Amino acid sequence: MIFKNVDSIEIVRLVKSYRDLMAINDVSLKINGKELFVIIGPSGCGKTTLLKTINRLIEPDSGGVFINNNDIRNLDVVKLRKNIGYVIQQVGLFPHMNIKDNISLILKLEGWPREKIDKRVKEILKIVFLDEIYLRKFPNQLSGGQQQRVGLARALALNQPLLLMDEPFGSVDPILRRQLQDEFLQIKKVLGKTIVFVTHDIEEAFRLGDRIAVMKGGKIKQIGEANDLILNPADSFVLNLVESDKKYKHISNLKVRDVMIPVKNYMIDSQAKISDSIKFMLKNNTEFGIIVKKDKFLGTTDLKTLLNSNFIKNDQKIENLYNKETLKFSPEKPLYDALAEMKKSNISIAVILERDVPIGTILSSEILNRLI
Amino acid sequence: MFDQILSSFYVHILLTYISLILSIVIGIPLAVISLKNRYIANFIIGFCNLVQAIPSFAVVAIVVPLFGIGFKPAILAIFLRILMPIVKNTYDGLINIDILVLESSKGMGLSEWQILRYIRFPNAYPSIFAGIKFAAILSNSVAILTAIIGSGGLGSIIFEGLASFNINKILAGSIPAILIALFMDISFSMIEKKFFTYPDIINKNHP
Ligand SMILES: Nc1ncnc2c1ncn2[C@@H]1O[C@H](COP(=O)(O)OP(=O)(O)OP(=O)(O)O)[C@@H](O)[C@H]1O
Ligand SMILES: [Mg+2]
Repeated sequence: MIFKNVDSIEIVRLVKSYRDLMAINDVSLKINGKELFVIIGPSGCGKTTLLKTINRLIEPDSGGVFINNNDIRNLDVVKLRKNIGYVIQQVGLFPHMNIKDNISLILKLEGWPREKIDKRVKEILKIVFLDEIYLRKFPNQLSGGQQQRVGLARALALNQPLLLMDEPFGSVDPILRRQLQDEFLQIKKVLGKTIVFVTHDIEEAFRLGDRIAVMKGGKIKQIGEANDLILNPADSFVLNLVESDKKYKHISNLKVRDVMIPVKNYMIDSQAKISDSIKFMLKNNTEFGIIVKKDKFLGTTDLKTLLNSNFIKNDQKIENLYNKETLKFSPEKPLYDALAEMKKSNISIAVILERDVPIGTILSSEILNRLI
Repeated sequence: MFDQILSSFYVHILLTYISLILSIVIGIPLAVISLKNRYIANFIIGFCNLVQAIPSFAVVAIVVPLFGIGFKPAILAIFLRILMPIVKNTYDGLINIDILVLESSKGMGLSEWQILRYIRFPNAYPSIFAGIKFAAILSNSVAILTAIIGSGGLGSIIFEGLASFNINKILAGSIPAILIALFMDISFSMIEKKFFTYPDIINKNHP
């Protein structure tokens, strides 16, 4: 192996064109070690092209790919590819070889002894949930889903630290796809590999991806965790993509009112002592409080500040120690506007007021749970 | 008479199989070379096509002014005549590989030669074999023609028979030739069935 682990893959200003078509148009991104990085986008946006620059099946016009800070152009291409498992879009099993030979060809060429190969093949079959009875069969005797598994098994044979997967579950029906995804999530835990995973299915991206890159027309539109894409889509394209997941179908029409959390467990009267406020928060298992005076909103406080205050010596009223700078929204405010403001000011909590009376709160960490 | 048939039969087998083996030994590497370079491919395939287009009789005749008459020029004529199906079928078999299969073999880190050896050739076997079978049968029939340039073999008996209208001679020459053709067809088919058939490789694996 050229690299035992993949700690980073950096793609720097990559350009690839076919005549006047820009398949990859100045893409830069960084993939972290051991993460499952999803590339998503509509058909023809350049996902496969981008993926293939990583194992040099495609050489870019300009820009570069760096694995563990090594420019992959300086590596021997055959050796590089042996370090990278590759599952292609339409499986591409060898039709003239049985399943066992399909999986073990590369091991044989690497000069592994027979017993070791047999052992390894059995190991991988377990990983991909495939029965040993299929070993003697030929690819065309297997169902689509079984072939996908063999394709994955073949890519895992050498226990490569990096796995490139191009729509591996693209050609199977939705039910089987879900099953394969579930299995794959388990496999992923076992493997601890860096995985770059291409799909055009947003639900798949949300289920599997640690981080997701959204592509369109050869460009990256947004990179982030599922939360980032859902709560703060960079533009209408990403938003449409998010909304194509039925769970988030109406997210752009939502108002703050639709997702706010009731405030009962957060309300603290301005006359309460600090020690009582702390007890109240601990009892309700919250880390944050809304302070009101005669039901009208005064400000917020949080557990950490209170605990750090000098309350044991000086247990004053909470109205002397609160934070006036809070985000306040009307319940009719569109959710996305509110989230954008929260992100901009880097505050994860906002209070919803109706005629100065707190009627709800939103915590950016909680919103996704409220949506589903 | 029987002695003459036997020795002609022997010469005929030599003519047929020496040129067949020669064309396999030379034709397959030519196909591999063609695979590596498009210009060479155009040249080699073009040349083969040309020879193919010339009637067998003319190929046999044209060897004479260049190489004279006898056994060896006859081998050359047969060889030239049957090279084409071998080169062409081998080349077709090697080049017509499923692009996805090629991509996954490259992607897993096989070298060019490993791809040739483990992927392209096995995929091409049925096609190569069909070429060889065709060449063998063609070789058998051209070997009859070469009798006119003094190669000997069953053709000389047939031509003698035709010249003197001796039906016995005609049959004595042509029946063994027919038997050889039948034997070839059956044996090649058997080998084909045994070694080069795997469950229907039409690409059903891309649903
Ligand atoms: N060899 C090629 N020659 C010319 N154009 C190409 C070639 N390969 C890809 N393209 C074009 O480049 C663009 C990106 O192709 P790519 O295969 O990366 O798309 P994709 O995002 O993987 O699409 P899909 O989801 O359909 O697989 C497409 O417009 C495609 O037509
Ligand atoms: Mg693709």
